Amino acid sequence: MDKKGFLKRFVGPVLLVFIVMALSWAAYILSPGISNFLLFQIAAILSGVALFISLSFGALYVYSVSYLRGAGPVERVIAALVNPIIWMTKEVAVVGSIYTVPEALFYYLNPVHLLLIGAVVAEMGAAELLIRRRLKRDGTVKRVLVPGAVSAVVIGLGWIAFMFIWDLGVHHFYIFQEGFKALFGFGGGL
Amino acid sequence: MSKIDDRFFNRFITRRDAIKGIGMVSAASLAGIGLLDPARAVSATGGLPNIIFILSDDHRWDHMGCMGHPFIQTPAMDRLASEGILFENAFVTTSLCSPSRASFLTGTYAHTHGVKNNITPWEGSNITFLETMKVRGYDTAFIGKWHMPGNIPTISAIDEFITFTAQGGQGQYFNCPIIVNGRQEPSRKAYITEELTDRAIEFIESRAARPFCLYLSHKAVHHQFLPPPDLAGIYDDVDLKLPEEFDPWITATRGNLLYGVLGPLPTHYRNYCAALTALDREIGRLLARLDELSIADNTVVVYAGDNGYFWGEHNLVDKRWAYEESMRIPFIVRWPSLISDPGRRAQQMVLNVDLAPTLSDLTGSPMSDRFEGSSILPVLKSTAASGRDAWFYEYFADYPYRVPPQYAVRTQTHKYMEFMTGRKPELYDIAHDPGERQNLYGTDRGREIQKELKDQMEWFKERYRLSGV
Repeated sequence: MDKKGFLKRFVGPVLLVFIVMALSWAAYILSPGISNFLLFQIAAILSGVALFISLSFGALYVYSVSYLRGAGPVERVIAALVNPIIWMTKEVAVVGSIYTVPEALFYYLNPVHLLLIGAVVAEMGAAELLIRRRLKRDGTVKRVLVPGAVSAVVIGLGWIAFMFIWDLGVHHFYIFQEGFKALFGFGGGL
Repeated sequence: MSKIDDRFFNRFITRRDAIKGIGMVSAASLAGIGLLDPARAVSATGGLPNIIFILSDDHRWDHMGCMGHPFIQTPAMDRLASEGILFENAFVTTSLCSPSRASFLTGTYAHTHGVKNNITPWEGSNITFLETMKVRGYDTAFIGKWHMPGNIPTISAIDEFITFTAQGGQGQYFNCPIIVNGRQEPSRKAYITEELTDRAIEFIESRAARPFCLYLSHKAVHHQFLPPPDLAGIYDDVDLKLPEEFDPWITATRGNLLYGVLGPLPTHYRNYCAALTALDREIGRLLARLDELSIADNTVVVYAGDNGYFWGEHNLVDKRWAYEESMRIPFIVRWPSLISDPGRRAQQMVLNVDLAPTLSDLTGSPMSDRFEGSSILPVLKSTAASGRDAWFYEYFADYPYRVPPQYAVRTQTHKYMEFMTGRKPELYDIAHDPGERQNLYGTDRGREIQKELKDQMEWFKERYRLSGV
């Protein structure tokens, strides 16, 4: 397996997902401005789908492509995490317009973000297994089921399942709020 | 001292109560209000009326059969409206559970009672109308959702205090542990609305010999919008007319996932309507029991919601914002002994902060200096009574929700809103644009009224000692 240059193995896949994510987000946000109801619905639905896929499953693509282009394990993990972190940072910035900086930073830990991280971990594990399966065929790797990848799938999916089963994340939300109160009291955003 | 008095003082009066009572009597004397003035104790039957205040959660004003909703069935609420007065212009001063509940209880705004959001705690110095009614001689009960931050308080003037703390005080629809006077018990009924109604009826039955004041606060129809099994799916086949700005991704974007509305909004909406019908059925059961006990005529029943709810309007879900869907509530008063024209639809603007002053007024209790609302007793008595011209709305930051703190002034015809975070102010001609779709701020059409409303907002801010948003 050839090791491509940094731009190709890291920046390329990350940037592609980022562009889809950013454009679909912008299209979604702007779609209510379309006066024709049918066009508005089409724009909102399509951009929403693209945003959801790029955000929720972008890590699967980025990890796989960067792996195939010769990125090492650490590089692959970082590449897969870049876009979710950019998204979460965007969310934190929005929250930061209302709350103090430390409070906004705490927003990184909200249950939706933790759900996203769970998905990314599972996708990284799944991508590792899928690519290893392919690479085993041409003899590049010897084993498909490596402990790290299997653990990532199990932990990521287990975490998502746990969040859904435990009252669809409601309990996590209250834990998150209790954490906020423990750290910031009644908050400084008033 | 009579036996009743003896029981009263031994059981109910603490030092705090006594100080409050003395303070209120003193204030009443200074104000020239006689506590036992028969003209103020207006029950046509001569005695004090029983009081039942039923509070629902997130029930917006237009979701009742009597408000012309296309499919939702609310026969008990419709009955209340036909036998009482339906206030078509009822609002909350802060559209959020905890602040609104505290406002109902105290007759004061969030900036006064201190429960500014779902995080800032209830202050022990607040005086609830239940305490006022206790001093007036009522047996009192708080049954249902307390949901104000901090620990559940000990209020000795409340004879029966039945609540829950599950899920951050929101409670859960099924098998919610109940805290009865400080002790946790399992729920006897699986569905919480039925459990709370049972508890309320038991209280009423046990107090039929004395005037009682019951605060019955339901979890329904708050998220997760779950109806009981026998009503699940009753609206699955109806055609929904969703707002034109609705899009299917609304529940997953703009931080809305934190409102717990994961999944298709129409599904949540149908469940909401079914849970509301379940609530209505329980209200009907309670009303029927009043009839059976022959106390309906001398019982004031007030039904209200703690705030409204967006179902896609303005591309929003939840509440908080100063738009109509969020700040308007159902508000019905039935009191057969007093109301001479049942079925009236009052247009005067009433607020959640009006409840406590109204109850003080109709029971001849002193009017607290802290009240920031007004008694609506004159409106109950006469259709010609004047209402307020304008009122003030406030919303404070509530972590982690991304709704900017905002103030608004609402008149009979217009609304002016100011936001923190640099968002442009908004101005709506409610009379001609009830959906608030055309922001007139800065336009030629809006310029004249804009200044007037801005001045009014400054006046309110000065009156309430509030800084800019």
